[in-house]
Amino acid sequence: MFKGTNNTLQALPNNLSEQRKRKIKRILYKIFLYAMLVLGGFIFLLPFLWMLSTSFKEYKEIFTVPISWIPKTWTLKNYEELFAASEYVNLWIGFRNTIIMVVPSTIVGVLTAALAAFSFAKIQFPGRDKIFFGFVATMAIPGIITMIPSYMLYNKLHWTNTWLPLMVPGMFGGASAIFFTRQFMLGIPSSLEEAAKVDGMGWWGIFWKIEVPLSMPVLITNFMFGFLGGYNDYTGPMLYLTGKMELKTLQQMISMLNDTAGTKWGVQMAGACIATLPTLFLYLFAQRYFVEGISFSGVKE
Amino acid sequence: MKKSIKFLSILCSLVMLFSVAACSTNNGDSTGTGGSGSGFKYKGLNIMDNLGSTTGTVSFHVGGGQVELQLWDKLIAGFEKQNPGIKVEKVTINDMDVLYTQLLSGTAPDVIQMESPDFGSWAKAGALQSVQPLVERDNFDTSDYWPQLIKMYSFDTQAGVRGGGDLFALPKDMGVNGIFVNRKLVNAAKERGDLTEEEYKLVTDQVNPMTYEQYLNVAKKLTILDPNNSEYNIYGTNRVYWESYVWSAGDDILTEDYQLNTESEVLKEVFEYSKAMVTEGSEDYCAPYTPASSASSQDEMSMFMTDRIAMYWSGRWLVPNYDAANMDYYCIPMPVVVKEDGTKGESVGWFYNIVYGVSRNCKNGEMAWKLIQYLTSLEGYRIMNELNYNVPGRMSLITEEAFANPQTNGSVLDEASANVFFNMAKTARINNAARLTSSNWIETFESKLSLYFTGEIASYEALMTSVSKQVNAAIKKSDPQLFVN
Amino acid sequence: MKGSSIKKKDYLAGYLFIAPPIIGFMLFSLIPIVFSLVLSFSEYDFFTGEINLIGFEGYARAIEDELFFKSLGNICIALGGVLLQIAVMLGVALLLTAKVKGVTFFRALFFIPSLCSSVAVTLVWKWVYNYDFGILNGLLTSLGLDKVGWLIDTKVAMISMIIQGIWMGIGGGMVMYIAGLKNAPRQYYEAAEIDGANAFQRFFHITLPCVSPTTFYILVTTIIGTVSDFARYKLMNNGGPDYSTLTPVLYIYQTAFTSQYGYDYTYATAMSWLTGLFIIVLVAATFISSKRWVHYSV
Repeated sequence: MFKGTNNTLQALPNNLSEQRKRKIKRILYKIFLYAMLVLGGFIFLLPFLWMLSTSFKEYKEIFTVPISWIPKTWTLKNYEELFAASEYVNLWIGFRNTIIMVVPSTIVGVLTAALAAFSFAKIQFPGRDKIFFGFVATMAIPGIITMIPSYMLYNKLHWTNTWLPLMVPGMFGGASAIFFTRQFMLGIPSSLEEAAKVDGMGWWGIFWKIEVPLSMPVLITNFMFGFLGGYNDYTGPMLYLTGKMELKTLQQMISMLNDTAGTKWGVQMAGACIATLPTLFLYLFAQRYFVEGISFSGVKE
Repeated sequence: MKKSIKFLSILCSLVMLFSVAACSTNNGDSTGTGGSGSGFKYKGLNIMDNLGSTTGTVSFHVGGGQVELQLWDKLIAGFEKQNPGIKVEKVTINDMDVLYTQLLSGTAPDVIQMESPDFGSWAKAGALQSVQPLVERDNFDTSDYWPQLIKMYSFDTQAGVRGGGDLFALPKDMGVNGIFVNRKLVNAAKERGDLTEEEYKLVTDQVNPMTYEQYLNVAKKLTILDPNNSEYNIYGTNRVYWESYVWSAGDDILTEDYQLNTESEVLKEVFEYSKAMVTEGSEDYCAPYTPASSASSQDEMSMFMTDRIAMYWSGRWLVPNYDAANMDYYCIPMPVVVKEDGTKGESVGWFYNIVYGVSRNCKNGEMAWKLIQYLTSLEGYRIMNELNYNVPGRMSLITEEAFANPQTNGSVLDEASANVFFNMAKTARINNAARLTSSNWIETFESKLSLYFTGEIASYEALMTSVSKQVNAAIKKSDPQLFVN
Repeated sequence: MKGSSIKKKDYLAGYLFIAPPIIGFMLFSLIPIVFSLVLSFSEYDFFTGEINLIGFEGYARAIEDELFFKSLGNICIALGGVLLQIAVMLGVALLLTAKVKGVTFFRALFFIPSLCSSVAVTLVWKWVYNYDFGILNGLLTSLGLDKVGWLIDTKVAMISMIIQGIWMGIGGGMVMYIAGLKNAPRQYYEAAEIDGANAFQRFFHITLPCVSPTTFYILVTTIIGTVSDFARYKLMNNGGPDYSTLTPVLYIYQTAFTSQYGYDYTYATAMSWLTGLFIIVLVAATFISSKRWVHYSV
């Protein structure tokens, strides 16, 4: 339905009005699509637009009624304050810390999750499905109740005030990523694996040479979501990074800009907008990769 | 299908097994709710066993953004200068849940900062170490601190009651409330002729409080309602703090035996008065509606800061906010109730503050005590006053210029306004949320109260009937003996 | 004979590959989870280390707890919104796989909410829903309608939270649906068109089944996510007005970590296990039903 009607194979229409009717239908359809996209996009963008415009407003103007969308007085003060590096708040250091903390562990985590997902999807072994359900069940326990025991555990390991509690667990593969990757891999034709086995490849080889390349869209998606989660995480760093300034993440730095003068809305919104930029670039890059993705026409191969 | 049923039944039987096991090992009494002297066992530690050495490193819980951190650094520098050989390690915690996690894990900083409502349950549970032995050992004079604070942060570890006994914490500040008046709006009303000379005198009198009747009248005069709803209303006031009214009349929300005071005429008066204020269309409409349970509602505050509320009930600690927004304001005392015999009640409000205490896992009691003494010394308060943040914890400082006249310290707050807060501090009573070890009782009440204000609950009587059982149950669950007034 | 050694090789590989997550779980999650489970059956004093097993008392108390029940009721309302959320995700994904110019740009637009820090977004929504000067009420009054107490009216508050949840949450599922749609085999569509199937038929008989594995994943994770969602409930209204937006996890958090209920950590663990059980039952039901409607292509 939505793959466009321009490449269907059909017999030529037998009169001109048929042709024109179809052309009009096509145009109306395109207009409808655009209208929906613009309307939907606008609704989704609205709060973000408010964030953006607020970041350029003077403090008093933020609370005016009716809402002012376009700042009467544009100001860059909020951004200046955001980037003014002091010994307490340094956005660049915060950004660097976040990247170091999130990227390697996410990459490793995505791969280990993919390996496990491959096993759950393609290899037969006793108890497979029950164990898989068990994994999903672990996602069900509300995380906050394990906050205290987890903290005590990391404390015993002397990992508090380091990045370790925020990096290491993720490297072992998360239930959510395993779940999603498994769903995808179940859709990969098993004939591919059969063929590889006939050629003498073991499971390890099949994983790296067949599954991973075919699952790239999913792996990149997992990486993106894993990165987003770690990047925007606020409670984890708040709990474990209470000491030195040099370890704090970007989100922590931004929230440090509040003080006794209350929540500085303009600065916080500026911070939120700036923080979105790296993730936006990541998304644009990832999207090209996985959406323009790979289709399964390689059955014969 | 069969497999999944099998799996679920295994899960269920596991749960059953657990329950059988657990039930059969039900030994001993429960760890007990505290109490009335008989059977209360204090589980806290004695700081004299944890004095540690007189030099070394002591860890200190600090909070706030970068502006506060700079101030803490100044304080720490001052302390380290006075105490060579002691290094202070800063631990930044801005959320109480993180602090609580650390307390439970035994890794909390040596000196911690708590807010009023947290103190009760933490002291009772033994999460803190009382500084009383050190107060006695050093003959430390606590008479300069606001007496309500010493009373509030003491807990009798023998009898298990609050309001006296062993001192646990010393104040960082004294957070009191007053009424902030938007000078621009008041002067505009006078120009327009809405305010008479006499009313103008009333609203600019920073020494003599108005009566609640006079206050309502002035608030109505200052209110400009926009009938077309196209622009916005300017309100004369925000909803009054009902606690002030009740206490000024000499009454309280609770009876002597700590039950909800359902029969009180005063409560009925103030709630009907408040409801009329916020109900659109009533002849007393002069305040915007906001939910009852958020005493520092962001919405109200932003209305005040954009000149849409003329007289605003707010806390002294918000002065830096208003200064930063370049508002032109001054403060007046809270109104008083005219009692039945014609006398006027006190101008009184609630206080809420932050205190320094010693955590259970502190092994450096000596250094922690030194740090707390410094932070709450005259010099300590003087350094902290840089931000004009609050009334200091020591009474003697209110006559010093930087405190008495904040305008010399860069604030908009003038001398008379500062004095309003000092007077409020003299009569202030503890905020309801901190009177017991859990705030559930008052939260339940205020939650239903907000329904009364919006009209979902039709009458005051209906409010009281719907809420008294739950409130009393909540009080009972939380040891009424641990109430502090 | 050869068959059995191949099978053993399979078993070995199978277990080996799932070993890392299992080890990770055992190292970092198992101990905290078991600890909290034991805690839920006892009264534990963290300071003195005294532990008293009280069996099911905590659970019994939770079952009799009016507020806990109310919170479960509230989360059921939110779960009702899950199907709507999935429908929106699929709808938007379909829109974004259309062959129109600039669709990449629109894809970014719809995804932006998921990129922002949820704290910032929640605060923005607080302004959107503000009774006096929020965007929504501003729109209503400019159309001449009455203002709505989005976060003030007990009847509306939960619905407001659901709408906010949908706005904040569709990004993930939308992206997954796009990936899933793009990878649906084209042969099916072409065959169907030759057979004369119309758009609706193609949607219901080809598109939906083809993305059903993705739908399954999204459904399970959205159910879990909806019940576990707590930070925004705390920031928006802290469970108000009159507990109408109190969710189980928020109530658990308030009980364990705030002075409101006296810092009662062990009781909170009992409630969180009950909540976890609730989620597991829902997830199990989804798993069981999935055999009927999820089609894995071959």
